[in-house]
Amino acid sequence: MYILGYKDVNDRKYYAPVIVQAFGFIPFKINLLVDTGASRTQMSWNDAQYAGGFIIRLLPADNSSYTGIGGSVRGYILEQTTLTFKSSAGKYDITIGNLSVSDYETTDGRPCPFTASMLGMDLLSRFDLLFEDTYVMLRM
Amino acid sequence: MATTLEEKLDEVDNEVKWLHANYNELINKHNQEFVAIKNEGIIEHAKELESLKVKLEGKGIKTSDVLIEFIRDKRNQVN
Repeated sequence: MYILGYKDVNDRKYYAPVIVQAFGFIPFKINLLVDTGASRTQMSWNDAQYAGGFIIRLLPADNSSYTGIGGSVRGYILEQTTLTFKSSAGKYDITIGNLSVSDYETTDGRPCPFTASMLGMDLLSRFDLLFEDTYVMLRM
Repeated sequence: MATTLEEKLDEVDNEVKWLHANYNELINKHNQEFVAIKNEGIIEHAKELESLKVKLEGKGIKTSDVLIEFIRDKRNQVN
């Protein structure tokens, strides 16, 4: 069984399509950067706001902050979350419970740039990864 | 509009594949804009996300039924 992600012609990185199902929300579409340099899977504030009516700061806070280039941001929680992928064997669900969502401002009030939601090693480690010229294959 | 999760999954797979294969062309046409993608094409676009949502609502389309992306040159972006 495998899942495919697709290579972007602009940044040359690989992205996997997914449906996000979470408590209280209609399932919505995003694409996740396949990021072997990220330890955790995380949704970016910009992808979160695309799900109509999604207001980040009404979510529970996860009582942690994430530090990256440009500063630290607060995290929020999307509860009871399942990520559904298209696989060679049909739909493939990964139930992750609480999904971290990054804030749109740093802790000192500066706006965060648009950034990709990340599929991190917490989930990628389930798969063997095969990177090809136009796609990546996540194999079980 | 997708009626099942499986249909929605097929849609998003096609939409993501199309998006990333055409990203540079999208920068030429829609740089620094929000676009709504469905069925391997842009169905709406706008400078502001709220404007995009209003346009989609005017067509009876839910944001959860489309793939929304902010188009920008990502080559210098740090993730």
